[in-house]
Amino acid sequence: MRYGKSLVVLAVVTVLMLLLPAVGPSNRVLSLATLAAIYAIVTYGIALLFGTGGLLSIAHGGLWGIGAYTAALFAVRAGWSFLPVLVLSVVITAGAATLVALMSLRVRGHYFTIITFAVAEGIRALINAWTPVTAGTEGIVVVAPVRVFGFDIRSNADWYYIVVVSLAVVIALTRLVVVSRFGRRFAATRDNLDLAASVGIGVSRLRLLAFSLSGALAGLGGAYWAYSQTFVHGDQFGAAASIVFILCMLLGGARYTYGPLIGAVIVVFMPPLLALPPLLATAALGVVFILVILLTPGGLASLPERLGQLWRRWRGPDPRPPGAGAAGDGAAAAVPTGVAS
Amino acid sequence: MSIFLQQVFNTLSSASVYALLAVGVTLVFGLTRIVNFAHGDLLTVGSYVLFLVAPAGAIWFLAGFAAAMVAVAVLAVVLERLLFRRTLVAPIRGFLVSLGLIQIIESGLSYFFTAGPRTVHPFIDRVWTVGGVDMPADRVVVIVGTAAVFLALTFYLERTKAGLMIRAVAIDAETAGLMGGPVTRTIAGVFALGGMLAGAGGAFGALLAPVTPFLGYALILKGFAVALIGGLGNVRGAMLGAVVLAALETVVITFGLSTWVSFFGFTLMIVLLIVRPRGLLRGVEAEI
Repeated sequence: MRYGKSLVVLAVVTVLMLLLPAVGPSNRVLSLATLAAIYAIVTYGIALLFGTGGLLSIAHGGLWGIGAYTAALFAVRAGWSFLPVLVLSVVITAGAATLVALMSLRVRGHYFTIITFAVAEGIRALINAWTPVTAGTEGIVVVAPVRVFGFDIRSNADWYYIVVVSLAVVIALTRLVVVSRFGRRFAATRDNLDLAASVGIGVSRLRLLAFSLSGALAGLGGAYWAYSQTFVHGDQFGAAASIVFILCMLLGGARYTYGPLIGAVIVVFMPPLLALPPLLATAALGVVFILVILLTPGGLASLPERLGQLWRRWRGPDPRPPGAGAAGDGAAAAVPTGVAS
Repeated sequence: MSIFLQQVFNTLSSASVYALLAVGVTLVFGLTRIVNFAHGDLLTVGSYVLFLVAPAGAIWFLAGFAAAMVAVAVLAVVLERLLFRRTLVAPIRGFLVSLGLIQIIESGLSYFFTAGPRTVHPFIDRVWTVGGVDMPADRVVVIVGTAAVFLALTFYLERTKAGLMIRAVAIDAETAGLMGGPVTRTIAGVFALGGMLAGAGGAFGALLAPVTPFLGYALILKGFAVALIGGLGNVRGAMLGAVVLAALETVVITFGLSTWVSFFGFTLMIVLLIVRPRGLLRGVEAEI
């Protein structure tokens, strides 16, 4: 039972999340919570690439648009039922992500990030321009009856349950990938790509696979977005959406199991809690974002660890040999740069 | 023939703004490796300074133009001192900081100036026709003004000591520092220079098309496309890239595909990055 404790923690977190509708929140709180869970699903995909592989992808803001539009088109125009649409969105987005990876992984560092930026905006431009298929800038209203295993999905609470259960699966899955042999090899490509290649790791295939996997999560989040928001429009996607996901990721901490979740909850709930006018709320989010990058590069989830380090330093030199007490994500104090390879 | 010349003229006027933006981007990247996506918003700030200082009149435009250059240069240096200086060790953090800045500047601008588009027309109604080519005075001012700015910039970079220092830091900051050069001051100076160019671009851009607070975000993508087409870090490359992108856009619009303009722009950028990652002229970065 190596992962027994983590599984128990995840089960507790999931049950706590599932209890939310029972305490009788307003519809608004419930839909915000659903939104946070959807953001978290996509953010886990981005965090897998950045936290483990050191790849900062901005393409996901466009990729989840592919997921959302696949869902919208097949649910509304073709009348497919929910589960096939979900699977198709994931598969098509993963396929698109593979294509993007084939193009973008040929270059490194800044060039990778900028290509993915162009991809995100290219997808948005494509959605807005390809009127015969996507209805262009009019967007698509997504109204389709949804049945899952014989249950009709209608209320906000129903959607919340579905998305949260998916999120729990996503958290477990990404954690498994990170600690697996695959994940450790992927981390090796972050620390030193050339060295990883020279010890016989097939870096190209590895990074391609990781990118497709994280694209699949973007597709899943996009499909849920289309169903739960009941309206898709090209301008919901693109680099601006990526910025929100990256904010979620960095705020929480890309390398921590619950980092993306914490970040998504804060990003979604902070503006309404501050009750600022929308514009000032956006500005406040920007300020928080910059402060987090400059002050806690490891994200909020790294704070307990950081405070622990400060506490030990303040108490004086540690009598134990170095590293004896370190556990978990101990090396996550510095943000992975991924550009210095 | 006159249609062709007309298109060349139109291309040059939009290329001017792209070039002013992209040269700033490429200079800052060349010295710091920071991908500053907030640079497009510096340009919009320049436009709004122009609106404040010179709402009308040709003489006032000069004052507004100068004010935009100075104000944006000051803003750029303040941002460098406060934020970007702290990210020089890990340039990707500088990039992330600039993403936060976009949100602050754009929502700030629309909070103070409302989100609606604004224009100025100081040289209103004057159109010269030379050899069948219609040349609105606004656009002539933009093209001639940009040419003058770039002449001054080239002189500064290639004929002055400060320009020499900028080129030295771009090639190897560490060695330049060991030789006793003021590296941090040069980096702040390059932010100021980029800011001045963005201020000029903002003032000129306001003559060409309506400006909204969210324009910077659309512009910066073009700015980076241009800088990448030319080769990141290469000033002449950025000027060339601006003409290439503007020409592509003119062609796409001429074929009646104006909704597809941005899609073709990004496609050109992606294809070029894959085929020729260092751009048409060589960029600075060795890690490809």
